[in-house]
Amino acid sequence: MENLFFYIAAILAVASAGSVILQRKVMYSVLSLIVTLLAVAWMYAMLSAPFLAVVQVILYVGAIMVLFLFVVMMLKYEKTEIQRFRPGLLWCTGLLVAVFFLMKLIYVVNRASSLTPKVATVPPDFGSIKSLGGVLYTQYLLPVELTGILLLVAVVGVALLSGIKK
Amino acid sequence: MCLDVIITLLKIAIVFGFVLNVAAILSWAERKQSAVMQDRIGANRADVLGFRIFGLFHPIADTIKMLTKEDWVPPAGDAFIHTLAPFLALFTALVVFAVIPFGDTLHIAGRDIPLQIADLNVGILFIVAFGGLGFYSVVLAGWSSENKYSLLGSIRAAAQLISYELALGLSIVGVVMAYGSIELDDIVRGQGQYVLGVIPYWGIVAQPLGFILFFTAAMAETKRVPFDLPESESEIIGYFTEYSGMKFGAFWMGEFIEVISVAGVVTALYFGGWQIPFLSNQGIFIPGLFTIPLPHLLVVLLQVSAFGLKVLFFCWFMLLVRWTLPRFRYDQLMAFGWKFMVPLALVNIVVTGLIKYVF
Repeated sequence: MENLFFYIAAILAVASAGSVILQRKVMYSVLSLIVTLLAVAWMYAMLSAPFLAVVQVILYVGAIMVLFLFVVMMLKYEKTEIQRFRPGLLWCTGLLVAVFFLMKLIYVVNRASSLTPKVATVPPDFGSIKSLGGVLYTQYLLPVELTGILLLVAVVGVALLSGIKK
Repeated sequence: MCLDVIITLLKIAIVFGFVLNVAAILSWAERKQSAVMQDRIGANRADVLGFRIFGLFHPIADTIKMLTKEDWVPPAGDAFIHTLAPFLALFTALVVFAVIPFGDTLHIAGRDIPLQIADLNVGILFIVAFGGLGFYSVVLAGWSSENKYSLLGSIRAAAQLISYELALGLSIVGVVMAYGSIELDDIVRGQGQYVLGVIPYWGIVAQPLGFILFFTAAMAETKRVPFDLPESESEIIGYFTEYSGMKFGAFWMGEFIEVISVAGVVTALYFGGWQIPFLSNQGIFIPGLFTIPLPHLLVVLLQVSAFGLKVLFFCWFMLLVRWTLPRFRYDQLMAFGWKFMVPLALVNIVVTGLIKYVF
């Protein structure tokens, strides 16, 4: 049963990720990416990390993809846009990126197949908000606070750039 | 295993049956309420064999009308997304009810049945996450119609929903702090306590400011007057201008289901959920005076109907607000959200923290 759900989620994630780059229309790419993110959230939920799953939905689907959608909605996609790119350059970069990721993938698969799977017992409060919060605010306090400052700087920057005209 | 599945399916049927039926009745109640408030007679014309029963046949008449109307997709638009949007609107509005508890645990034939469809341990966050997805239905509807007015409506909706979601989330934090849990089940149970032995410790008592903020933000999320800028029937007609037939009906139903969802969440968070003051599992209980024992089934029945009545009350209250207030101007709406609601919600969190720290 669990295997079945995992394979459905995995196929959904991979298929929609493929659809992101294969779609001709930008809006369909954005929608496919949303499906990918939801499928990944589904996997988090099955890995007994419900909090991570919900945060994935709130942050990525509920906020970041909203921005993507906004941009796509406001800009009219023109056929002439694509002619401004140099096709040779695009192919070259694409090939380089593809080769790089293929090598990474081979490396990861090689390493994973040499390891023997360990059966570890999952603590009952694993992935709960309490345990996650405990770790974030004790062990990883400094990175959390630094990220907070980074985001605050970004917010102030946006307020400045959007211009309070006086 | 098999029985568990049947029980779960039964719970889903009961909850969604309640929600969909109330949504249909609300479509009549809204017209009747506006008529009462404007000193008119209102929707009372639909009759079956001469029977009118206050016009309660109107929802059925409307549905037949919308199902038999021509379903038209704008030729310049995007047919797939145009069809997808109304379904998303219905889905996101309905799915919220999966985590709202509508009664205490039912003990029957040696089984403990929690009266809640899915007891997720992320509770409220689930509501925030999937309620927020309603954004997509509005934006995709406007974009796929290939109509300037629809697009204007959906851009307004996008800006409004994002702004008020922040205030909504922050006002919920206060409740989570007050009851020390993020699960709706625990929050409702926590509201069964008493302050000074007599006042029920409901969310409204623990979080008066939080309640007002949440209710306002949640009404903004339903996109109804005074926050109906995405629709604005007198200026741009809104994101569903290009919809006809039952697809328009889906948006319409979605709006009423959202009203019921908001009423359900407000009841669960701030008005004790299924709790009735001075009614515990043992029966009627007046502290220090007497206890009248009641059978378990009767208690559960009373609690479930209390939850239903509270939800209906808030639905009616939102109809009252909708027919009382005028519409905000766009800049007023944005300023109100960002410069008033969000700071106030932050203050609410700090004050709640201080109170929790002192007591």
